[in-house]
Formats: sequence, structure tokens, C-alpha cells
Amino acid sequence: MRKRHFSFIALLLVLGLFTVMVLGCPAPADDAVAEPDPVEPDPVRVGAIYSIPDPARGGGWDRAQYAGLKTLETEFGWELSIAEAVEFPKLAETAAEFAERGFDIVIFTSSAHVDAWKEVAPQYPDTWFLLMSVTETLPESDNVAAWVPDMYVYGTMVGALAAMASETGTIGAIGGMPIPALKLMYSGIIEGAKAINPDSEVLVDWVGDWVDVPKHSEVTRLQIERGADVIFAVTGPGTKGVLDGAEAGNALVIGYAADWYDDAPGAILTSVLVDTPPMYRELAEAFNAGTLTKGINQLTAVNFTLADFRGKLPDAEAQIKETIAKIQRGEIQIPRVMHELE
Amino acid sequence: MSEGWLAPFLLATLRAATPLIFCALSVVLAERAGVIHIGVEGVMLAGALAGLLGVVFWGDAYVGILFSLLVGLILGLLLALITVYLPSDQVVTGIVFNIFSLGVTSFIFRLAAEKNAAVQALIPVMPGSVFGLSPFMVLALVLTVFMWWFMFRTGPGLKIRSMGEDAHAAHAAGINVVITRMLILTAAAALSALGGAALTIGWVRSFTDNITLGRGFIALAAAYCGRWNPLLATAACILFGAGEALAFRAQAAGEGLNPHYFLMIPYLLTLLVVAVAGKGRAPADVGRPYVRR
Repeated sequence: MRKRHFSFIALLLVLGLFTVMVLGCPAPADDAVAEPDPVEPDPVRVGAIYSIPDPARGGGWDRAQYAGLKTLETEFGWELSIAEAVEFPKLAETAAEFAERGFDIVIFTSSAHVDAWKEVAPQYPDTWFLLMSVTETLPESDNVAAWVPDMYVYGTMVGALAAMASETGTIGAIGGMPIPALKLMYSGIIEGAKAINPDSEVLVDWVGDWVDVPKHSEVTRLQIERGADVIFAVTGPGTKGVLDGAEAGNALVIGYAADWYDDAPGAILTSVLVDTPPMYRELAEAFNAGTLTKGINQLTAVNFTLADFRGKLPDAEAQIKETIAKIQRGEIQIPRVMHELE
Repeated sequence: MSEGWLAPFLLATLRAATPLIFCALSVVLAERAGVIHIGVEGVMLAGALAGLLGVVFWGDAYVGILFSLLVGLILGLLLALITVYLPSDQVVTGIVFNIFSLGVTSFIFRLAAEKNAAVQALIPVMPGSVFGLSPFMVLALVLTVFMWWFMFRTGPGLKIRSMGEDAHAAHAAGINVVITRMLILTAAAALSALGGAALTIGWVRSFTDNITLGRGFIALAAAYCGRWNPLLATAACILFGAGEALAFRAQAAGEGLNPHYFLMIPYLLTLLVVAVAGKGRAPADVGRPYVRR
């Protein structure tokens, strides 16, 4: 038995050594002698923290943030490092690690990160700690700022759009967990839908997590069984389940924050986008100019835009766009009513 | 519940149960032969990704299934080499393998997504689905009956069970325990991978990191709950599937209550069944590395 173990370990070592040798071989040297680079200032270093895996393809908010973050790299030449799938108990530790390693800015991307944000920011006054999600209060230090979307207004736009697109008058709203930001948004959906069609019904269901794709699919199918023909979902990677369930039940989905069309061309009606690149440009310009200050920056209706309909609902598209524009301009007033959404 | 709820409820139950059934059968097969199959979760995850990649890159659901089976066979052989041939600790190896699989599948998924964006989108509905029943559902039920017949009504089945009860006695009776266990574990892993393919090709038509989310472990519990009998293990999987289907329907009907109460239903049901079923007797030699005296 020992001989077998020895042979197996030896085999693994040889394979490992071979892999290291192959991967470690230097690329053929370029004949041209490289000119020494002129001395440039170190780029600004940004650490972003996500609690979900693969944020570039995760939930809508994560995707939208990812697109904004990328502008820091591509337009400003900043160095971007992303920590993904960071569990909640490790958030503060991860943020502190970025600060210890000399990062200039640490970005939290979820409202569930608020506690860690408040814990770490006062400990590292030379690092900026930014929150890109819903909060009403700031940490007890000067090195903090937040960009906060008005989730209620966003919800009213989704609700109005869904009510105009729905033939049954029943709209499905699916959430990962009943967090305050989603209760606020879904209250907006209910009121937005009522503003267009007073008889409309909004079914609100919580999946219980953000990532379980099969569960999301089943909840969507169930909402369609109950009459929903337009679905909106705010969740994480589980969104793929929503798209699957909607396609199976011939329902339409309104994408959240980012354009979801490529994920399910047959199911996506349009998406209500959160236009993040301007937000990140504003942040980068303020940082470069030294004018970044403590405070909460609100994202309002003008920051929320409609993605291309790509031929879905050709008869109603113009009217929908006009109605959404009226909401943006404040010509349609929708009351702010909070609903109990357990 | 609204009129006509029964058929959708049964379909939802079967959808949730099908991937579990394949994995539970794989656990029954491996453990009846005396090898603990903790790695079921990792193989299921790898099979789920392989199936989806097969569909995306070769454009056919059945090629995806074959690719998933192939990956399952390779991983099963690797597991068999480590846990049966060497032999190392089966539980530790299974746990490490699951962690390894999670990392590798996430890595490969990202590479594949960079190469072909279609990996991120929904794949087409599997051909051959009738009345909402995917071919996987039918195959799972057929395999259950076949495995029961094979395990309890045939000579090779008896030989497999004898290895699980006393490997040395089986050896004395002329069975090559090492080779047979390696073959069985390899076949069991292929079944686990098929469970993963049933999830991604037959159900949600997509993949995300860790998409199985512990379903392999639930299948493991179903096999134990079903006392290593294919029929009972499948019944346990269907019960869990019914619990999942019921959880969301109860949430829809019980507005005003915290949704987490309803989401607990499948797990409470499983606990209840385990408690009522009492302690089953596992194959006596399961988990013990076989070293020829």
C-alpha cells in the first residue's frame, strides 16, 4: 500500500513539475530592446467587494456596478482589484486588507455591506470607503461617501412599465430576500402599476436566497400559474432561473439595472437600466481633483433609463417610453406609500 | 390553491426530484459496493457544467449528456484510484474533491464564457420533452426500477452487495474487490454527473458557480433515508421535491407570514422522515478501505 501511495504521489509531483515548467517558460524574447518607461505616478488603486461570485455576470445591480467599475480602469487608468464571493462575516476583514495594502479607495457594492463599511472606515482615515447601494446614514468618519439609488422611484418606473405591458393585469415581482431596499422598490412597483392600471395586481414572492437557480425558476413558474405575464426580479445569479421559468411560461421579464437581453432574448421585454458609468466618472473626477467629500449622492429618475425593446411590444413601445419620460420629468406624480411585504 | 393546481404541483415535484434521483442512485450503487460516495456533490457539479458546455459547443442536448457522462467517468476513475486503489480515506477524499470541483468548475465556466458568450445565456429546451416531462424524468424512474432489479434480483447485484457487507469474504469467493469497486465507483460517478446534466440541460438550462448548492448532499441523505434501497431512495427524493414545490405554494397562499417559515418545509419534511424511518443499517463494510490480507 505504501508503494502505491509513493507511486501516486511521485506521479502527481512529476505532473506538477511538468505543468510548472511549461507555464513558467518565458515567452520568446523580443529582439527589439525595450525603451525604459518614463517615470509615471502610481495609478490610483481601487478595491471593490462583492458578496456574490462572478459579478460581471451576476445579478442586475452587480452587473451594472461592474460596468461602472470598469470605466475606472479603461477611462482613468486606475488599477482595479475585485474581491468576489466575500461572505458577510469576512467583509470588514477584506476591506481592511485592501486598506492595509495601500489601496486608495475601497468600494462596497451592496446595502448588506453597510455594517462592515461603518466598522472599517473610521480605522483607516487615509483610505476612501465608498458604498454603492442603499443607505440612510454614513459612518463616523470623513473618508466616506455613498451613491444611493432612489429605489422607490426606480420601482415606480418598473411598475408603470409592467402595467402597460401586462395583458392579464397581474405582475410578478420576485426578490432574493426581503431586505429593506427591495421592500422599498417593490412598494414603488405596486404604486407605479396602480398609477397606470388601478386594477393591476402585483404578486411579490421571496425565494429565500440570491443564488439558487432552480428555486428561482420554480417561483417564477408559480407566479405565471397565478396569472402573471410580466415578471420583474431583483436577485443574484439566481436571475437565470427567473429567465428560464419565464421562457417556459411564455411570460416577459423586465431586466433589473443592466441589459439582460443577451441572457434570454426570448424572455426579456426590456431592462430598466441604472446608468453607472457617469456615477463612477463623477467619483473619479472628484478624487483626482481632490474634491471628493463626505456625503450621500442620490441617483434619481434621470439616472434610470430604458434599454432597447428590440421589437418586443411594437404597438405599445412609444406609449411606454412617453409614460416613463413623464415620470422622469415629474409630470406623473406617484404617491410614496410603503407596503408590508413580508 | 387555485383550480388545476395538482398537475403543476406534480411537475414541480418531479423537476426538483429528478437530479436528486440520479445522485441518490449513484450513492446507493457506490455504497452497496462498500465505498462512501461523499464526492457526489462535486461530480454532480462537474457534470452540470460539462452538460451545458456540451450543448453550447456541440449544439445538441444529447451530446451534452454524453459529455457529462464522460466527465463523470473520468472523475469517477480518479476518485476510484484514490479511494479504492491506493486506498485513502474515503470521507476526507470526498470532501476535498467537492471543494476542488467547486473551484475548477467556476474557473472553467469563466474561461468558457470568455470564449463563447452563449455559455452565459439560456440553452435551448431539451428535445423530447412531452407535457412538461423531460426525458430525464422518465430515465430517472426507469433507472430506479432497473437498479432495484439489478441489485436485488441478479447475480452481479449480489456480488456488489457482498462487497459492501464483507469485502474479504467477497474476495474469498473469487471477486476482485479492488477492480470491481473501481468500476462501480466509476459508474456511480457517471450517474452523479447525469444528475448534474439533469439540472442544467433538463431543468434550468443554465449554469452558475456552485449551481448544485448542496443537492448532492441531499441525495446522499435520501440514499441513507431510503436505507440504500433504490426504490426507497427515489421515494425520499420525490418527497423532498414535493416539499420544495409545496414551500413556494404555501408562501403564495399564506401572505403576511415570514417566507422563511415556508422555505423550511422541505428540510423539515426530510428531518421528519429520517426521524420516523429510524436507524437504517448501512452496508457493514462501507467506508472501510479494502487492503488484501
